[in-house]
Amino acid sequence: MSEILTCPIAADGERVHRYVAGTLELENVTQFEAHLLGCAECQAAVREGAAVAAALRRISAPVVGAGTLGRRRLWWAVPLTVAAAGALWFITNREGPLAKLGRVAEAPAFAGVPVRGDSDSASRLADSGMIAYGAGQYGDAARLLSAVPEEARTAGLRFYLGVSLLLTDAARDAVRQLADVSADSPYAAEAHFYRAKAWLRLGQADSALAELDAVEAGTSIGAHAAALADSVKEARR
Amino acid sequence: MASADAALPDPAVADLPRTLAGGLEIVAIRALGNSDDARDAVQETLARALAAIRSDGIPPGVALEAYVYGIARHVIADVHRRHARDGDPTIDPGSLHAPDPSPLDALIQHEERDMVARVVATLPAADRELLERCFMRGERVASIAAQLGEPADRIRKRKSRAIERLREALRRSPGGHETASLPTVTT
Repeated sequence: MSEILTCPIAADGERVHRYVAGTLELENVTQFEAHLLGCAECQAAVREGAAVAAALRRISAPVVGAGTLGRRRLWWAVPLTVAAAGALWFITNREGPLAKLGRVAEAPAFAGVPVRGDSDSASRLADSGMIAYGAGQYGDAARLLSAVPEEARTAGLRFYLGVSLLLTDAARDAVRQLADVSADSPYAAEAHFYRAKAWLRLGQADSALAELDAVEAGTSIGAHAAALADSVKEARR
Repeated sequence: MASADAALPDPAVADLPRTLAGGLEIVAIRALGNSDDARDAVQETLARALAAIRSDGIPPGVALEAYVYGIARHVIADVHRRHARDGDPTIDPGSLHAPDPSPLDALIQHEERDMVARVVATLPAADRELLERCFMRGERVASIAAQLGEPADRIRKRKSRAIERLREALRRSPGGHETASLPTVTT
């Protein structure tokens, strides 16, 4: 629901956006803040502006490798894309029953809980990676999350990086990444499940079954793991 | 100072936290850069304001908001002094410019920030650039207009429309209804 603004300062908006950005002069800050205390419209406008500024900062966080890819390497990107598309067609039309079981029909949802809670550069990379993940851009997500230093990776970050790798058909890397999701984290059961999927993409049924066995029966993903294990056993016959 | 007889009637005094807390939170977070210190500063300000108003009233000719804001400035200065005494280098009382990330980021929930970022990413590039020039770089509308060779009024309208598009997109996004219920700029 929206309403008409009655405060001329909120309606004009310039003092609000300069206050949010930190460019309003000191004497004007003092005057504006005294007004702000009694003005619900300006308070709402500042909160909204702060949300926009924070969002823009996230979007403009450094993208690893951007720029050089767009300009210097463009000449080979087109034929490579065509070749990759051809290879993907070849692979998807030749994949066996195990690899088909390893496909991820729907990526695990990201609930918006930060995978890193700090405000350092690793967290900005992680946030950008998760924005890409939320937008379904798994290649970008994998690239950004991979750029977070090993020692700064949380269980959640490793999990979504592993899934992003799996979704971009980097199954071997996904296996490695998902193996590092700690057993006592909330992502442990799902990490086993998607690691099994990655093993299936690699045609390794025994390894996949071992991972599926490790998913606790009582967890939300336990039923899916049991069903997938049955399908793997069936496909092997 | 006015006498105790001039003090605000009790209902208005009791209502102080409700009417002023939202604005005080913004002021304190911007000055102090973290939610915990800001929460303490808001509580301290309201407590001092209530005590002062009950005992002496508001000085004649001074608006309630201005009076409480003056108290807030003292409380915030006390926090800065305490941090300086404790050798905390994270707060720069003299800084006028919002650092990156801005202390106002603490006003926004992580979930809300993620959601707004996703929606902002879908706005047209021209809208994003205008919002960036306003809310990140803090440029004056007149300056943006001069550089783009457009009238300032048109820039104001473009900015309002960009914000409205953002609100509309937030309304449509899952869980976005709370953020979308903000006042509309009518320019």
